[in-house]
Amino acid sequence: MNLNDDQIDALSEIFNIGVGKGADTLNQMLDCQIKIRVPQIETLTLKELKEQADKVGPKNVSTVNQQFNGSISGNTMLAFPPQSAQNLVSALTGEEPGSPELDSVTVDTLTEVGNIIINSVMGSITNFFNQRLKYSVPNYAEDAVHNLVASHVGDSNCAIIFAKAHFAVENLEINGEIILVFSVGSLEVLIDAIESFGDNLE
Amino acid sequence: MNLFKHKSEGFISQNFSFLDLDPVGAFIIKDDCSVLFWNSCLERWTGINREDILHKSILDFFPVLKNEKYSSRINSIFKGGPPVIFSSKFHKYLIPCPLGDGTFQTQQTMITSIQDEENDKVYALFTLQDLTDASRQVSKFKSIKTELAKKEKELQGTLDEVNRVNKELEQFAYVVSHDLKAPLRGINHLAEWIKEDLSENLSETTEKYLKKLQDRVYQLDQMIDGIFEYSMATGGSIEMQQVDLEMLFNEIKEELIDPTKFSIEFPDDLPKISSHRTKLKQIFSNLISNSIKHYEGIDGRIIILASEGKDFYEFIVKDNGPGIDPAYHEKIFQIFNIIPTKKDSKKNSTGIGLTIVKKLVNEFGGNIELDLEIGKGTCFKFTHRKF
Repeated sequence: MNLNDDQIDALSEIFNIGVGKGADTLNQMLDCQIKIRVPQIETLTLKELKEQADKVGPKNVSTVNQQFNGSISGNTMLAFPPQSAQNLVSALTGEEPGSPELDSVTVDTLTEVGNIIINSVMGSITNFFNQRLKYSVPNYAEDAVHNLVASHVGDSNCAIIFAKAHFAVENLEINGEIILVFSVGSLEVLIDAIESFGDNLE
Repeated sequence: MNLFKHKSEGFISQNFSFLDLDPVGAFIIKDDCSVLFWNSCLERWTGINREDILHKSILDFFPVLKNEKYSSRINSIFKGGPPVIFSSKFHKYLIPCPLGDGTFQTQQTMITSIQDEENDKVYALFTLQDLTDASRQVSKFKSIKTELAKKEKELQGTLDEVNRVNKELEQFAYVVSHDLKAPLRGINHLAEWIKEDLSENLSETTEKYLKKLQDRVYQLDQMIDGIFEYSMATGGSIEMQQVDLEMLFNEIKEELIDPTKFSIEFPDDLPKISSHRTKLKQIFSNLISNSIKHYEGIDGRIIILASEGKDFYEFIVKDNGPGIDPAYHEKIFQIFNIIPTKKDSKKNSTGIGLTIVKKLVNEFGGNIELDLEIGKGTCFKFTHRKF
């Protein structure tokens, strides 16, 4: 499904509201000053995601995944490239950035950060649906983004909303990139829900 | 209300009693925060019995959960939101479970929503995983790693300092040897001029003294050359290359051996080794020159042997010369220690050759030692790390 500019703008805004709320929760919880922003989203197929693997990120990224089922079914993934993972954890914990390999405590920490941001994004999306979704337990995994999307969605025809989110921590001059991959069986359901929500408002 | 409570309990006991069997802490609350289920693991961990907490507000037992940073995320569960995770790093624990040593468990807590469709209710299931051991191990591992990194940094600092001092010393030796040569030449010239000026008036004694003066100048000049050679020996590139030992030994034979007086033998199945050709040649040349210098007869024999170990090559250079007096064994590798021989070779000795050999052998990660029996010649044994 090809989206027009208005639809892309609407989705960008929904994702920005989601990650923004996630950042607010992190700031409130940890008393820090993190800002997260999604400058632009793009829609891709799994094939396109594989073809653009180099652009998407390193071969092995730390990811937190949340699967959902219901009116709309799919997976939301937050992927942290290694340096970003270190920078983010050190910004949030106030510890010196450690070695690139992640220990179980750091994985645990990243999982909570991923969980907070994904939940806010999901909250932002499910606002457009009347029905509740069913969620699996969030899981942490390390692999290439396209492999993980393929294993979660399993359907090569799925639609993927791909966004590189920038995070920055004020005062600490720490910044980096988080990859947000929202994959669903069909984008139409989401677009219809957003548009009918807009129609109802009018 | 009582009926509803009853219904909820039925739903919970039917579906979640298995949580009593799990080695994780688990409890279920309703949207009014009252406790519907409290598993046996939590009874043990917290010391709070099930009957004491059921139907009471969890907030009365753990007021910290009223804090906005917890309550906002817990409330999202009752709205049917995705599971919520509280990691051990950010929160250490949500429900304090005392350990014997006065500290508390480190926990990871997950909250998931439970849909009770029959009663049209959503409950929140909290599962608490005890990560105390894991997080202690991680922090122990981290502190060992930090300590190691610190030590490594210190070691690198020391190494850098040693390298810097070595470089400075080499530079110093180079400058000194270069600068000392000029006044020495001056002294030699002055001696020549005195000889010329006095010409026929030169007494035998004065001539003898001037000759001695010039000999000393020559000797000093040789020593300065030695220092220069030493300072240059280990400088420059240390790039390794494949060295054909047979070719190298033949080259040395050609340059140093007078076949009417000496024979040199080496095995014909020598390997090609990874080394620095010029430096390796200098080691063998210096050892062989020594043998030649100290030999008095006309049928000198030099034998080179090579063997290969796991990490090192071992080389032996031996001769049938007079050997080295035990009084000098300790000193032979020290700079300017000249070994006296019957043969008048002192004039050509600077006492630096073996010092350079030792320095180069060390540079190849090896060691050199003297292995000799008086009267049976001299035998040097040295190792060379495999690169």
